[in-house]
Amino acid sequence: MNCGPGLTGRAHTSCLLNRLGSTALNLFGRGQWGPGAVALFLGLFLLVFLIIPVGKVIYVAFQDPNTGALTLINFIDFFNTSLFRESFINSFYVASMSVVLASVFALPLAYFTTRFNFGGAVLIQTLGVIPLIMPPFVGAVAMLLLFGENGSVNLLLGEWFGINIPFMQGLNGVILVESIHYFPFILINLSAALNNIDRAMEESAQNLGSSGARLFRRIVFPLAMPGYIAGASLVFLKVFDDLGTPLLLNINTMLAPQAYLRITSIGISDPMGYVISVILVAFSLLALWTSFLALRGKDYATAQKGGGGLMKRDLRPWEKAGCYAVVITILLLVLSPHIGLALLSFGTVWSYSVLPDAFTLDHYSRVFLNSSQFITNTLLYAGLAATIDVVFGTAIAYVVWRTKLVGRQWLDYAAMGAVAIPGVVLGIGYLRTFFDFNVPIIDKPLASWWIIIVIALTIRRLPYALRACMAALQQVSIMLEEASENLGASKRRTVIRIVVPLMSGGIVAGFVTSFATAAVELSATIMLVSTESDAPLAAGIYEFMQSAAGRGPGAALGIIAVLIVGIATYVSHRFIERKEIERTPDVAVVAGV
Amino acid sequence: MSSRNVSSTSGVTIEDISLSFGQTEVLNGVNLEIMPGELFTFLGPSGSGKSTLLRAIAGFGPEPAGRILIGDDDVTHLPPWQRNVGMVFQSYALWPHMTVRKNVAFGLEEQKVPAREIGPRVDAALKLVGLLDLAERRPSQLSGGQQQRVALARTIVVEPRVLLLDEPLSNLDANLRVQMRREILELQRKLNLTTIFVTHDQEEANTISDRIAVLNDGIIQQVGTPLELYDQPANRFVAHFLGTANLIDGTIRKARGKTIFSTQDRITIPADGTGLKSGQECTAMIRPQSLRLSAGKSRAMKSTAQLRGAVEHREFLGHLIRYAVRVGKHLLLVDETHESGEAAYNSGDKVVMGLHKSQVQFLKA
Repeated sequence: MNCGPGLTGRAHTSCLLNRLGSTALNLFGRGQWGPGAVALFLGLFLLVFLIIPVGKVIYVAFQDPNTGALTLINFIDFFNTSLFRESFINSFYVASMSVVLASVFALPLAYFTTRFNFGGAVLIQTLGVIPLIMPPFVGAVAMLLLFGENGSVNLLLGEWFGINIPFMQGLNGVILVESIHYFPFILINLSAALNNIDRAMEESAQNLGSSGARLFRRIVFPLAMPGYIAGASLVFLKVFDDLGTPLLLNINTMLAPQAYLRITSIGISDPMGYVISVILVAFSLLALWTSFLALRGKDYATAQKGGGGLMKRDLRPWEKAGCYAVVITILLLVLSPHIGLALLSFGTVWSYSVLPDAFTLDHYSRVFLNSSQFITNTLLYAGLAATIDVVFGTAIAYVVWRTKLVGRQWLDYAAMGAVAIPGVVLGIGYLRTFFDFNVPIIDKPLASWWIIIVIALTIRRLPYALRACMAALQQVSIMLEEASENLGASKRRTVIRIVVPLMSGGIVAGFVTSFATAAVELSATIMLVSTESDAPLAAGIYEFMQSAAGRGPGAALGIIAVLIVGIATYVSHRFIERKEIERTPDVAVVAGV
Repeated sequence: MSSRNVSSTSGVTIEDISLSFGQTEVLNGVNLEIMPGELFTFLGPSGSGKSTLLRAIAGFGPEPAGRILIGDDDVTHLPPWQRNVGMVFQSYALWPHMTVRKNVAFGLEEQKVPAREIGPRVDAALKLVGLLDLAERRPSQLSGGQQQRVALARTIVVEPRVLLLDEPLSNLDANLRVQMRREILELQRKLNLTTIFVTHDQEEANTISDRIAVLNDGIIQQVGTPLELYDQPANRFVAHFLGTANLIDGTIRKARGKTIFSTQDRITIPADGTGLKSGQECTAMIRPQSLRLSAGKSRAMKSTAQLRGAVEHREFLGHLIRYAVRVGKHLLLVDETHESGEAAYNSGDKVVMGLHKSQVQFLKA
């Protein structure tokens, strides 16, 4: 059967589901499923669920809503409306300021670990992970209670010094919450860049008469710059596209919330949602392009043979105290959403007070008794999406690296292209494209069936899984495969018995990254959830947090989400560690490639 | 470059330098006198302390005990950027964010040389290494040999008092290595620049050096010209490290009025005129090519000693055949030049090895 885009919705969907179910088994199976067929299937999947919906969104943005002719009128309308102009400026401002604030957190931490023999390095590494296991919108309300106008910190500041700092007022709140959450992107990239600088780079400058601040400005700083730019543009992209945080902080004058509100309140025929989508995609591409330019031809890590990092020096006692003070302050700040969320989930009433009035387990019992479908839905959706992601990721990696199929690179590009598509845009695209397709048997539109949420999550997280699988496959020497074929194993048997087991570390890493991020995805999900019984955790948290009474249970759900993601991350970390120990004898073979 | 003259280069004096990384002693009481304009090599296996010594001269690594003088200046306590010694790093350490020209200009800019002088001097340096055409390239666009030349140009353009080369050829392939070492030697002669070269490769050291210091375990084993080190090694380490050596332990005895060296398995070698005393234990060092193989006595006419043994195995190396000959408890290596059609000995063949006593070097135990 041919799964082309030309088929009717009904035939198309059943055909697709057929394939979905049997892909895992058949990917490298039986004779008729050659790599070509696998590649074709993957290509069609990406075409139907990524390229067509996004293309549709872009097309509609340039279409006259009444006549259907191509026009720029929608964009002119957009910029003539003061609300949209304000939203555009706000989004740009928030994204830029978040980069600045995230840099303020990341720079000292990166500097301490790479320049000094600093015992707090482990602490800083932990810092780099903690924020990532909780999406920013989950902690947003808790941050309001801690840092808001009448939050704990300002109550204390008012009592002690008689001042009130508007940490969370208006756009400030979005900036604070986003930068606390996303600064690890800068920290990780910048630290890697600094660590990759060969010590001889610094020594040769000293040898030629350079030292101190001059040496830093002329050698160290330019060499670390690409890493910083790469991290900073990622932060910009993430913040610019984020929907959940502004929504929960009740900031509607930004681009992503505007797109969401237009589509959900006015309807899917309103062109403004599409115009905003095109702008979001354009800025995502711009940010990615900047990062690409920053790194192109400047992969300094490989240009330097020595490695070993910069010269480190010991800290004097007072310097050490200063470093620890900075690190602990940032640590507290980074942990504050988690702390606030925990307080909120166990607190009875928390309002105009430093801490909740009393503590209770009621919120958790309420969540487990009445709202456990959020948890089971999340496990189901994220589990399914992550499974499909690693199967597809492995298949694409294999097709790209181990076959000579024409155009195989485009499979990689298309799958990675999802990185540039904000969740809101994908959601709008699905609504527009699949609302007319009725799924047989259950007889309702594909766009409002829960499977579409799984597909959206699959597409959005495929890049993570694909990168992990690609990296894992590149580690497997082709000689190991040739040895297997030489001993009589077919390509299919070789993949099953040699390639996949050797890739298992990477596959698990990909699964967990996909699972953990899919479990707390909000922006695409929130647009596609049609009934509360189909809603996952993220949508549930969002619903609860809308009302003051729902904050407690919402926070309890948030804590559960953090636990799920945290446990998954920990387990995969242990698994990969064990795999690496198992494989140590192979290191020479693997490294020889 | 043309302004360089003999007086601007300096010798290096190393006085009783010791240095430790934590508990590990890396250099132990090193003394050396390197002459102005000399190409001097630190030769030794990895971990011998040769690179550490070089880096100490440049001012890198922990501060050593002892004194380092460049010319008459004591630089022991100066930071690297005030020493004006040029160092070429093993990895070249070219800055990837700068073009070739900017890399080379860096040191002059740091020395606050007027801008109008920098251009011509950079050009001159690049011309000297034959890379003027590639001045606007980035290091990543250059081959290994070209990167090496840029590193050299970047270092000599500042007219350092001493040039330090830390295993500069180790990242190049074999053919290029031979070419680059000739170029380095030519450049060094042209500039008459005191140069210290670090390597673990004895062939490299032999072909390029005026003098060599052999290091092992942080101690200088011997200093001398390449010929001196090969022909008169001071100890077993030097004998082994420079070429292949047969080392036979034995005792000096008097026999029929003559001084001889003998072993328990009855190898005897005349030891007249060596100044060794009877009863002294020592090691006889014989290079494989100093032994001449024959089936009988016929070819042993000029020899003053004869050793009898049996061929145990042989390796054909092209220009020569290396035999391992069993003599008592010893297995001696013998190199015979190979010519076409010449029959080789087979394992088990009884052979006589002739040896002139001038080819034996006695090492004190």
